[in-house]
Amino acid sequence: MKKNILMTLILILGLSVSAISVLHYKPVALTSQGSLPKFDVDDLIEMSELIVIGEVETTLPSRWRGIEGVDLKNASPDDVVKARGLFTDSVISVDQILKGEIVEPAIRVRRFTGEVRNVIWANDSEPTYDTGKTYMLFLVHDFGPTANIDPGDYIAVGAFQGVYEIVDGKAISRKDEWILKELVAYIENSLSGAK
Amino acid sequence: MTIYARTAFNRGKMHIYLDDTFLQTVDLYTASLIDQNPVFSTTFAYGDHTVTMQWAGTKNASSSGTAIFIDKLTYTGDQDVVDDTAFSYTGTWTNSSSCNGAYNNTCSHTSTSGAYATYSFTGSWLAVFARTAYNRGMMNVYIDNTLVSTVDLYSANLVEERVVYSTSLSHGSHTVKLEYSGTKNAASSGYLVFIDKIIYTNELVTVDDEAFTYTGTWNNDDSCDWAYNSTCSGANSSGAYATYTFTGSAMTIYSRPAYNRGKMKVYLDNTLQATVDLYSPSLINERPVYSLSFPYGNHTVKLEWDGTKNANSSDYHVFIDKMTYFTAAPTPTPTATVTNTPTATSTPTVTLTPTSTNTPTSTSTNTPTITPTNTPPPNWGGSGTCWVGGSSWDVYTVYYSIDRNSIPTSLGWDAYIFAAAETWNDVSPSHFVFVYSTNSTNVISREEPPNDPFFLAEVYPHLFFPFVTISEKQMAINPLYSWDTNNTPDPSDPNSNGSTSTYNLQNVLTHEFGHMLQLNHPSLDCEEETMYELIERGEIKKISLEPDDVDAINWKYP
Repeated sequence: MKKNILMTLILILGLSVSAISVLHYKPVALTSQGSLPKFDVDDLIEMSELIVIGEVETTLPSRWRGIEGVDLKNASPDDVVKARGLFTDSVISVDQILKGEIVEPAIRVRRFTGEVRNVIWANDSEPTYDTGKTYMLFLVHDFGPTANIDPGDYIAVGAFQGVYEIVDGKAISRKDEWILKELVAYIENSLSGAK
Repeated sequence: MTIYARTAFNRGKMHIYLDDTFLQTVDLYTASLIDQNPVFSTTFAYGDHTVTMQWAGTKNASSSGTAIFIDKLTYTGDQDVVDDTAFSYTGTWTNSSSCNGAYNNTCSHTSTSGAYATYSFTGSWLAVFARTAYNRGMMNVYIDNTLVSTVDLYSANLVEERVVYSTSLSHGSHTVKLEYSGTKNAASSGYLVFIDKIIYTNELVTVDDEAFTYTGTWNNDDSCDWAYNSTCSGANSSGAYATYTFTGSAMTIYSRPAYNRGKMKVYLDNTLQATVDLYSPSLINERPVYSLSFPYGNHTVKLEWDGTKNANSSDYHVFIDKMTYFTAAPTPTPTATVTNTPTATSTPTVTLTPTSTNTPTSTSTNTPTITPTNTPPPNWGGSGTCWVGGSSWDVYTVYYSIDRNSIPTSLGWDAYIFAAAETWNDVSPSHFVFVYSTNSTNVISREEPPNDPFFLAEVYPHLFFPFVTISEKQMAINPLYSWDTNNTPDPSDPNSNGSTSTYNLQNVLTHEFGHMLQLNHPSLDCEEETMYELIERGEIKKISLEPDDVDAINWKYP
């Protein structure tokens, strides 16, 4: 009799743990959306502190940001309730610098989307940086709420507008497309005042 | 209640709040002066309410000014709603049961000479509701066969359940007749006359204690500052009673419960109805202590000192402040929107059972009821040529508030925030509405967007662990940008106010309220749509919706 009761308790405990696990790890997609100032290439060139062409070496784990801009590494459930969103840093190996200066051959570029355990934070205006792909990037130092988390990270000017993927000799953004050589020449001419 | 104004060529828009909750922005513009024009009417649960009318600072394109004008406000204590289906129709009418957006989804309309509709009722106030639109003509309104008004049903945009005529009447039986006139104003493209519903009410009469007849020893005091009309009557001795005779159907007795009150017997037509305990540990002014409904007719109420009390009271005093009654029996329809809700706490439960022969049997109770809207559940997802739907609220009314720390009223942004929400509210036949409420946790603030600092504004979810339910949205307006509230088009570009350094607030917020609706960005080829994600300085074209934006809300929230 006691054995049966014990087995029943173990079964109930096992089912409870399974249920909690299913609940906890059920993926949830959260979406933030908004509006952006419309920038053309001239705006991007003027506003950028750094314009580079480089390849995405790696993408670091996404992190939560707290209400006061603090990094919620190893966030507890209580911390997550205070969180305002996820961000993700990517390491870019720089091949060519068109504007600005950098000391290291690689830079870190931040986007405000990501995935942590069971939560996906999406924003369709944010750029994507796929590992192994090459991009032309119009960048400024992060000046937003996450600026104090790993200072020195860059963000794209105007979110997706400042990111052009390099494919088959073309520079392609979500709303713009150039022959890469022509865009590079345009930027160089613009910066030299010869435009 | 109904709000009346003198509408004119130079009038702007006016925000209306009830109990600090934003209800609607009303346009007071008309091409010519109209005195005592009923510009807004609404219903709500019986009780104490505060109405606020606020200058909006906006206007429609035809108006030469933004002035608002208030004439008077009327309200009533009980009402009956009559759908258009209850009218008697003469001539050629289309009686439709698929009028989405109309009361009960039914409507009746005509474009034929000689057509009219009639309805007879017993009451003392009447309001006629219609759906106004760009193709409407004028409608003749008769009361008891006398032409009392020719109302213009034209409006530039569709407006559902709009009060187009209201009037006070001598109490009694009346017949309203609504007639096709065959005339229209110059702006209208048609002559169509449209009927949605009428509301009529019975008059609520207030009787001061001074009007009662007193027997026995009473203290009739005219210096009761706390009381109605500053008069009250009290008794604390055997044989004291007060009577009042009236013609009506329902009554409520008001007193001032206190720590030293005893019990009071209430009789109607010499039949004991209840023994009411007037004790309260603290003083409560103008408190309804007893309410009763009964068939319409001549009645006498008698209020008598009982000489008993509950154990907590220190004495046996009874007090009379006032009484109210309705001058006729309510004639509820199955869809009556509001019933009387006296809040007496020390009285037995009362069930309204009017049995007047000239009215149908009532099914009302003391519980307020809200008219259900016959709408299907909102749709998730969806897409069109230039719109993309996301998830959906599971309700049709979403409340929002404004963070007063970052957007104080003095900033002057309220009108533009309300107008942006109103743009979506105005879409027909969608039933979705944003409603401003100071208590809402869907907060609009002026702060850096929580994520990318390049965003002009951002709508984002309020987080809950473990993310099973996401039921709140926040909207952040980026203070790093310069904002303007100039909605006037530049002479050289109707899509811009001409600014080259600032972003137009209402333009951006109309887009963001689209996100609050859970609409996503369309393709970047859709540059004309409000939900297009990129915005230029001075741009104002997103203030008005494009057909795909309208399709989106109509599909998601039909």
